[in-house]
Amino acid sequence: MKKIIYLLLIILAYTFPVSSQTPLTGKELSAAVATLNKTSSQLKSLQCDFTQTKHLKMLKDKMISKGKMYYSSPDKLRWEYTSPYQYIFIFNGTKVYIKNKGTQNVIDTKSNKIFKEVARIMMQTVTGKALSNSEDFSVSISKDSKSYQVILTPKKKDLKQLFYKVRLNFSQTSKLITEIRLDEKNGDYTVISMTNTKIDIPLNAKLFSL
Amino acid sequence: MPNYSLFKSRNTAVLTLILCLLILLTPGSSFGRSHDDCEKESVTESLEVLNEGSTPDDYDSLSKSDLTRWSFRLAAQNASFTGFFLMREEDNDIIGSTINEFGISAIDFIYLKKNRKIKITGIAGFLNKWYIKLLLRKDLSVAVSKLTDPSYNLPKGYGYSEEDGTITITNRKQNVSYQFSLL
Repeated sequence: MKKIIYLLLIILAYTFPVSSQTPLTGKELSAAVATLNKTSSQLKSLQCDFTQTKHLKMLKDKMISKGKMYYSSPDKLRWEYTSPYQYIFIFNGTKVYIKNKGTQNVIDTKSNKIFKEVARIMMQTVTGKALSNSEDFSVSISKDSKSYQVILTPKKKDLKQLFYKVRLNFSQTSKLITEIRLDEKNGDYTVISMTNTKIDIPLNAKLFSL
Repeated sequence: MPNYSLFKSRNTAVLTLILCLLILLTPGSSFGRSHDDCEKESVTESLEVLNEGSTPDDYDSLSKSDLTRWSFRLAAQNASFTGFFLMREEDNDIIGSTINEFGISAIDFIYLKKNRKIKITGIAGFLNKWYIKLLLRKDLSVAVSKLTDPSYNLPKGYGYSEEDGTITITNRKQNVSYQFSLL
């Protein structure tokens, strides 16, 4: 009988592995949100390299792209793909500039609700400011020895149509985002890993126009 | 005294019970999935049928050589969408997907080569209106036909232009244009 009990314990350990991540609640959760918010709200500029991996269920494929991201507070973002193709996407206030090979496009987001919404959420996400946006998301946080894992669940109908969940990884030391995962309702998901992050450095204004 | 007639001993009965529990709780069995997984699964049911037997881990084992990538822009009077238009030939048909620059999916489709028709298999909530789907089905059928067969003659009411490698197909009646540039 003892052998069976040991076997049962082994099976239970296999079936329900103990997670190294600790979910935060109460005061711990408030403190973590406040800490991460402090860093993101003080952010004036940010520059980093990114690797974006889009998992496409429909195409049974994944699309890996690399590039550079520049952010200038409050509403300027340059998303520049450098590999496997050159493609530049810039948000600047109410304008979106796109450059692909010789073609350039300018889009006004004033008359384009969805474009504006995506722009706003992405800017808040890459900077970590989405955490303080309690109107759009409910927030849960867990942590391990190296990072905070934040799960943002959309509250509004419009956002629910875009994302199922947004997961953010923050470094415990820098309090900056290292990875974003955008989960969609159809099972597709995108992972954006951010490296070589530099904050509050002067960025040339020309980066945010074409 | 309990009757363990099916088993040699009480211990064998307990062991069998544990093994049954293990099978039920092992990942891969629906009993071992979280609420989130189940919720997600119900939403993606329609796509699951199309991708039966594949998991994200299988992606690497599949040939990617035939995946064609275009940069894409859809422009209507008060709306536009930019991003990427991806297509792959599969089983004599073409499957495709459009995603924006951050990876958010907009339209998943199958292009049936036999009758040059598009079947929309997935669409983002903000586009999920019957009249938009009707328009997209028709216009994307024309667009994919032209992209895959340059000799295809556009139906009446559609315009075509090509400049610096960018192909523009316009639905003149609805004033909607579709721009494609091969990446």
